[in-house]
Amino acid sequence: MKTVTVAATVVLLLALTGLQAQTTPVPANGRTNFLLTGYSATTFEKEEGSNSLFETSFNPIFLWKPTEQFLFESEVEFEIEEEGTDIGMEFGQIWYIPSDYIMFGFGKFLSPNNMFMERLHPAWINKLPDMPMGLSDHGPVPLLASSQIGAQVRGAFPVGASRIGYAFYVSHGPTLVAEEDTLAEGTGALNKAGVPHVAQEGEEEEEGVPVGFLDFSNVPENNSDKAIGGRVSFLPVPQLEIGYSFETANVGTPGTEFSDIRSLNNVVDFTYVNDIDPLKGHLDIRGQWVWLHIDRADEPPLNYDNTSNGGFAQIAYMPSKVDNPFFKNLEFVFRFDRLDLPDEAEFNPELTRYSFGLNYWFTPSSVLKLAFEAKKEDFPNEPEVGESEETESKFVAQFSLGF
Amino acid sequence: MKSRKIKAVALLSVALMILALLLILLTGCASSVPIKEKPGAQLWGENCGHCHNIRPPNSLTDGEWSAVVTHMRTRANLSAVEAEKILEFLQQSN
Repeated sequence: MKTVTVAATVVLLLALTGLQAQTTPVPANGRTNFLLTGYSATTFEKEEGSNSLFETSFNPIFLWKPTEQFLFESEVEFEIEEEGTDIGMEFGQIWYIPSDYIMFGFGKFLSPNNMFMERLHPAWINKLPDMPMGLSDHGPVPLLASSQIGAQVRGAFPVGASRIGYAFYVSHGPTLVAEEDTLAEGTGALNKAGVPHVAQEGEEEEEGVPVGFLDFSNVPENNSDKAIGGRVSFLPVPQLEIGYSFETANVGTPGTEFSDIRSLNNVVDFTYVNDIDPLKGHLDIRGQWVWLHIDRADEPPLNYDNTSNGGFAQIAYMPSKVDNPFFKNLEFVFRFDRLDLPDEAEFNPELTRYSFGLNYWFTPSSVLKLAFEAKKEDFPNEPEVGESEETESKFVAQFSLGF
Repeated sequence: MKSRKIKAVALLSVALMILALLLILLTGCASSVPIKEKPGAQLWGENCGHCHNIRPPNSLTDGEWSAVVTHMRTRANLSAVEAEKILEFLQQSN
């Protein structure tokens, strides 16, 4: 019934907004607008107690705008892995833009409730060589999806000098990981039959999402219930943006004792970017914090208060208004990021990381980044030793080019 | 222990908000010019520079800018009027 209602609403919106679209002409003399853009990055990292290593990636982005109402966009990622080149689709979606105030997107898209992934994830935009903790595919435990598979509707409208934006989506949503699993790289927590995938002999093993948390890998879909989420943003002035996002979903797998379990996340984000004359430069302050609640189950191992939070706060300063041609291209960055997981969970460290970065911009889209990171892990209730603490440090260098 | 952490996060959020408000007041960025009256060049700097360094207008052709501006309209939730003015500026300046 819910599916029918959603489908009917979408059809009605498309029909109503499409009235204006029919009057807009296609591009003159049959030409369409196409662009191959993207970015590439090579990273060197040395972590305390580990071998140093290089990583490299190439992310072409395809944009094709056949008419004023349609846009296709896709980012493909090529990464060098141990067993060869790994290829993945970061996003790939078709946009239908029938009016000034509403746009429909269909396909795989960067999660609208994750400001970092939508706005800042490309290596030539991200001011540090790696991403904050808590995002899916980045770090030990994901609290927030990086991408979604489904449909979205979004738009924005000016209100005087301010702007209000919205984005709402329906998607596969996350899957609750209810039992320990070893995943083959690139697979979700469950196979197509809805049971945990176990790596076979000769297949590379990789740590999966820990028990009690959510797997945001989108495929396979573990149930028929779809996630619903969105973000509302407000820019009182162009330099300042405040956003609130949410996502709610049934994350349990049918046929298990956890089938009714739902999750709800609430996210706030904040951006302030401005040229400041007294500081002779450009200031960039951002933050994003997520609170994730997963229903308490009646049965072990998930019968505990399953609430996590985490996010990041970042400040960057570039002395772009000084006269010295070298110093004006330098950028100083500091980021604090943290993950606070439930004490009763099997995997429960509190992770806090401090990252210090120094960037040199050769051009507006080519940058050399150097960063030092210190990560503190607090284990509140180790079975053998009680509370314990570890600190790891890492040096990372990255050269990135946007094109 | 938990309440201390929640308090710390709340304090951090409040501190960031206060810092932003102070910066707005100090730098006088609270522009009252309606978006519809702003020129394309100003909207280009304000919106594109919100997330990344801006690229020179002459780096792309008219058709390429058309695809890019639509892409950025969907990604950054630009309003239609902002996207139109920015595109017009870029196509006139490349």
